[in-house]
Amino acid sequence: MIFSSHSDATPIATCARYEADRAPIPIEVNGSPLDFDQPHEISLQRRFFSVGNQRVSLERDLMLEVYINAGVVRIKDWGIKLSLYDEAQEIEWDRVILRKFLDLYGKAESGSLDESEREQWGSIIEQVDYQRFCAERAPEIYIEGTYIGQDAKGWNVRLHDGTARQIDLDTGASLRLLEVGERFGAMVRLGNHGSIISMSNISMLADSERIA
Amino acid sequence: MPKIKYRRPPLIERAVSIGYSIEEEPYQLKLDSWTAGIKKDFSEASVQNKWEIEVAEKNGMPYLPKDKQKITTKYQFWRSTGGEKDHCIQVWRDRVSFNLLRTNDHPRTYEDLRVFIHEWSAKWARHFEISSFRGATLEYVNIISTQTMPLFCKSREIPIGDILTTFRVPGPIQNLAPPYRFLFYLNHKQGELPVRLRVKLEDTPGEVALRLNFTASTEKPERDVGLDAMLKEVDVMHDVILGEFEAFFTEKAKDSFGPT
Repeated sequence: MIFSSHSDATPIATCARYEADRAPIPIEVNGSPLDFDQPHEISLQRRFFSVGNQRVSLERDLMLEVYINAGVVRIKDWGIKLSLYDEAQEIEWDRVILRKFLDLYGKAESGSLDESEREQWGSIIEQVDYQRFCAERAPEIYIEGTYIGQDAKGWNVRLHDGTARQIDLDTGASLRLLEVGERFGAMVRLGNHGSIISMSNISMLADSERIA
Repeated sequence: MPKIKYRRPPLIERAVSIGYSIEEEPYQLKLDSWTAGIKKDFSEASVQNKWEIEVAEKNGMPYLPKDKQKITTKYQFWRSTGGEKDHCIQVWRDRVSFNLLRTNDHPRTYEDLRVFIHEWSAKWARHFEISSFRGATLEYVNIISTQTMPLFCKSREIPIGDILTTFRVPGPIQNLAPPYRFLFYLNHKQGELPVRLRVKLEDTPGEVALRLNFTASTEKPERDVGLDAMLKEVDVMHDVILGEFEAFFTEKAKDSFGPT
């Protein structure tokens, strides 16, 4: 046997089964005199979020505040609170950020922000590349509808005039932001026979039942 | 020398992962359309965030250095055969892996993994428009337990000395107690392609079972390899692991695997 003290970079284990079946690894803080009641900032190292063709770019990395003893994570200045040991383990950051942004955007457009939301919207707007966001929302035809559900062929919606439509999976990908039964507004382009061939600028309407 | 194949090796999972670099925005945009497009082939998707909180020490006082705290997000896409999850693609910002799991009805072979990675790594690279890689890592996961080696593991004890040629205890006390963790790093320098090999034996918490991993890698940050060349490297690494597999298991154990 030849022993060499030199070793190159460690290969990364990629075992899917064991990572998939294991419970989330708890954060151990045993024996440390650190004050874990205080928030500790962690950068998500992300500043671009997208679901379908809904996009938000930030001017700086999104910051999280971790309250280890309380088991809570807050997305700094976004008014989003997650439990550290379950929600934050499997959260889909893009969906959460865009839902929050579109919720406040819709309310800001309709002038229905309450006091705390107005404060959140102010700090969010400071982080977001708002000029880019607006430029990407070129007007087409506005529709409103209700998200009915998804099947193998596409996304099913009922439009404001009561007609049912199916939108193909790629075109309607941003409907993934919605829960079944939620109402939305969106800009669309119509093709032959009134089919929706492009869809953008989805908004959650203020009377939706469930908003993150 | 002809390769020996086994009908019942304790191998439960094979994985190939490949490293790359991509900017955040194109990655996120392509990931979204990848997720939508792959759904018909890999119907189950999930997201896992890994939190790494590091405590450092300065002048005897512990603190959390801001630049050391990290969250990484992994996207998993699963395909099932006969109701059992057996094919998985895992995507990170800087890595993708293709995992093939043994099921009760499908023991799986390297040829099965090869077909899987050749098809899906090409689709993946085309979709994400990535043509340059840092190399590849091949990992084989073996489980030594009553399920995989019933002739040896008949009670709540695993006779490691009868199964493996290494990880032996030199002293008179022979009863190992968990946690077990043995690790070897080997450098394989034969030929043009340097392969680093890691062999790890450890217990699996909550079970009377040992997990023996063989991990071979050609990855280095400065490497720039095309997809076709990298897939050939995976073939080389498979041969390297086979050689180690033959050496680490005893003849008695290998006889129980059903050589063909």
